[in-house]
Amino acid sequence: MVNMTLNTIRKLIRFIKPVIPRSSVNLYEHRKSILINNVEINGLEGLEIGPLDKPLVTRHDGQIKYLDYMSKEELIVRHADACDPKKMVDIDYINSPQNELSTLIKEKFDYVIACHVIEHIPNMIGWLNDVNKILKDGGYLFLAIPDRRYTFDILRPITPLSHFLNDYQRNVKTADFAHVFEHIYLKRNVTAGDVWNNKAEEKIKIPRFTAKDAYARTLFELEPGKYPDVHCHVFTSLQFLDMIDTLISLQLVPYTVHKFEDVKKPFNEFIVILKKS
Amino acid sequence: MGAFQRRKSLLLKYANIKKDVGLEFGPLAHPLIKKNEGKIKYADYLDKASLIKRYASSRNPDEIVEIDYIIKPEEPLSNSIPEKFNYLIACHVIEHVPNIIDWLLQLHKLLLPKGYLHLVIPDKRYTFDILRPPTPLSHILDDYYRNVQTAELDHIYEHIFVFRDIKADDIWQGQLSEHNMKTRYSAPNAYSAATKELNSGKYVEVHCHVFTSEQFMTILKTLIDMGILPFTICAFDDVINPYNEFIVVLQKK
Repeated sequence: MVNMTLNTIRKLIRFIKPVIPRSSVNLYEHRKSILINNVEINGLEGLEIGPLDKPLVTRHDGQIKYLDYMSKEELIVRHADACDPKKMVDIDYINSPQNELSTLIKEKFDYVIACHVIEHIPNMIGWLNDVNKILKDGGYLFLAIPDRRYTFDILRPITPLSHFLNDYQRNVKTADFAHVFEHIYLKRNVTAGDVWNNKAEEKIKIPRFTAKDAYARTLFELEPGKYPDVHCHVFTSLQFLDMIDTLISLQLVPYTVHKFEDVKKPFNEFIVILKKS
Repeated sequence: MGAFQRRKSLLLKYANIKKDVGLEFGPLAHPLIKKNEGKIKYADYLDKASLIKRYASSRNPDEIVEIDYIIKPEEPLSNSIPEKFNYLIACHVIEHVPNIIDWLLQLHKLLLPKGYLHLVIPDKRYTFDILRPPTPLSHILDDYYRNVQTAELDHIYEHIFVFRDIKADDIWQGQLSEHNMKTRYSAPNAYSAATKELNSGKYVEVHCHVFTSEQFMTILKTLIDMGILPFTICAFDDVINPYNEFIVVLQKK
């Protein structure tokens, strides 16, 4: 690993604790146990980004608000195939992805939850700083992040640190050509189950589009007024952790790493909890 | 056969240097074709006197050639080069170019019909770029889509931070040591140096992109298949011991 420092290795040793996997743990129990074991939520104020029909913290659990880029009704239509409309939560803050959270939201939170959000963000460093502004001092940012080795992003190259520095320097606001093209061109019909059961190899070989078609589709998606929703960036767990460590050393993201939980069978994601410093 | 002879013998299979008109980019002290060998012109970003100064530590000043066409970074090549050629030579140039597709299309315009483009390209596995990730197709398309004309922060940062003190010999002889893998700068120092370079307003000379031979050929073939690059591939000579480079000859469609 390019940027692996002694410090990172020490942190890894600290974070990677043996966990005995329980066979029947579902994804939400898994995430929630990591959340409540590492972040105090009782009586504290939280914000969950993109909860859809499965919020990690329900209104019954605590003082939680929900944010998404559409209203509940629009989200029901958009996610008709994957979400239970009866369980879709009401959205407190509707924010289009191009706008800063801290411009819209005037209150501050003890914790912010974002499951499978950061990979959609065009400018990751900018976003981490934006979220920082709506956190109270010492507040937590809980991130569940897909690891590309276990998802349809399996063929995409890992986004290097230099790319994030460049997005931040250019103040990128929307998914740009490189993001959209890779999402279209390299997406493969692979799930975490395929990978854990050694069934991914055959599926990886089947392209969805030729480069020429992917190029034309990318140009179409980028027409003025459109905001394509894609996985802008892709990560593997340790590389993400290493990169966050470097960004902290560059003083570009005002956090410390509070908790890291690597990908566990049968899931496709790792969890990072950052603490506002 | 030396690196220079290897480059030249492949070129001579395609270009008739006695008869054809050629242009070489960045010849410095070692032009592939000398003036007494054929109708060759030379192009670079600086004139001979400035090149002597700039390369004082690494090149013999008496051998640096006169430059016929001084090109301006960020300007189309045709602004400073008003003629067309049967063949073009660019050794260790493409990795410095911020927008590869745009550059190849500009070279296409400088070529006469059926003209040849002779590219010599370092393979990152054998150079100081060894630890840099190979530039993906999406990045190269993105540079073209956004009409990037100067080195960007990601290029400069990687060049500074990921640089390792490695020569092709170290790799071929299997003699990499810890010394070779040392970083020159900490991440914060590399970041501040890169930002300073970027904001200097000057032409920043870095390896914008890095390739392995296989990955470059895949990208090239894909861009040709996509109809973006109007070339055919005539020859590909992979990296061989003890060199750090591969050679590609393209022909204008």
